[in-house]
Amino acid sequence: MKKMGQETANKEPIVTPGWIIMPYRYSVGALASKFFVELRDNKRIIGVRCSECNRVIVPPRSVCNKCFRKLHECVELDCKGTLLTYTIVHYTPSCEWLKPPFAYGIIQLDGADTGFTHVLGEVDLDNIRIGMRVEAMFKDKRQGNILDIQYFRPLAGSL
Amino acid sequence: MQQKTTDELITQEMLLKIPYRWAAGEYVGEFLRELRHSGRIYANKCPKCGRFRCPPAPVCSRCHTRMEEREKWVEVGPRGTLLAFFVAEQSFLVPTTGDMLEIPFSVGVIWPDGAPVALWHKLEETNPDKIKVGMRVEAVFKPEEQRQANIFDILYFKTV
Repeated sequence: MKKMGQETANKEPIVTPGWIIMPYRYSVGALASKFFVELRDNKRIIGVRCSECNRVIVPPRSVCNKCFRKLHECVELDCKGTLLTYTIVHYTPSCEWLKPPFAYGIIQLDGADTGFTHVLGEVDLDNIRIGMRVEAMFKDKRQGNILDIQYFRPLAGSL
Repeated sequence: MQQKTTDELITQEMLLKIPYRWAAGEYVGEFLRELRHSGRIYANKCPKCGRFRCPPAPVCSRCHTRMEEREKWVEVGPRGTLLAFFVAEQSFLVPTTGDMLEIPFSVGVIWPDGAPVALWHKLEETNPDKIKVGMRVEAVFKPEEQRQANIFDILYFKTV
C-alpha cells in the first residue's frame, strides 16, 4: 500500500498566505510626552540629565540605565550633532516606511552623552563618514512623534 | 531647564502588519487539495487504536502510531451533528484582517457523519435560539472556481 510520501510527492504544495494586522496605541509616558510635545510645538530636542553620573540621555528615559537613578532634570539639546555610526538599508521589510536605499545614523547631539537614532537625508550614501556633522531637519506638519524630525542632514562643509 | 509637568500625554497610533506564509504540509495539504478539487472532507484513522483525526494527521493523537496510508482516509460529512457552539455578541479585532469581527458570529463544533471527530467551523445561523446541540448541519462550499485550498473553501455549516 502506498505511503503518504509516495502519494503526495508530485502534488502541488499548499501554502496559504496570511497577515497579522494589529492596530495599537502606544503610550509614551510622562517624560517622553514632554520630549514629543517639545519636538512638535517648539522644534526642540529634549534630553534628561542623571544627577549621579551626570550623563545627558536622549531621548529622555525615566530611569538611568547605568545608575538606576530616577531622572527628572530636562535639558534642551542642540539640533546639531556628530555621526557616531550608520548603516545603509537595502532591504524593505513590510514595516519599513522609507524606500531603500537609505541610511540610518546614530547621532551624538551636542550636549548629549548618548546616541540618537534617526534617518540621514540629503546625503550621498557613498559619502557618509563617521564623525561628520549633521543637523535635524523638522517637518512643517508635526504630529508629536519621532518622524517630526524628517531626517538629519550633513552640515554645510562637513563632507 | 527644569521639567515642567506636561498635561498632555502623548499616545501614538501604530499599525503592526506582518505578512506570513503558512505551509500546510503533507497531510493537511492533501486534505485542502481534496476540499478544493472534490469538495470532500477527509479524516484518517489510527490502524492500532481506531481514533480518527480531522484534518488527517501523520500520527495518532492518543497512541502515537503512524497513520501513513492515504488509501485508508475516509470521507466524512458534508452533513454532521452539532456537538457544541457559541455565538459571539461582542466584537473584537480579527488579527488576520485588522478589522473588527462582524457580529453576531457563531462557531460550531461539528461531528461529521462517518467518523467520531470534532470539526470546528463557522455556522450560518447566528440566532442562538435557533441553534440546538444535536441539530443536523451541512457544509456549504464555495463555488469550485473560487476555492483556494484553505479551510474557508467551506463557507460555513448551514442548518439542515
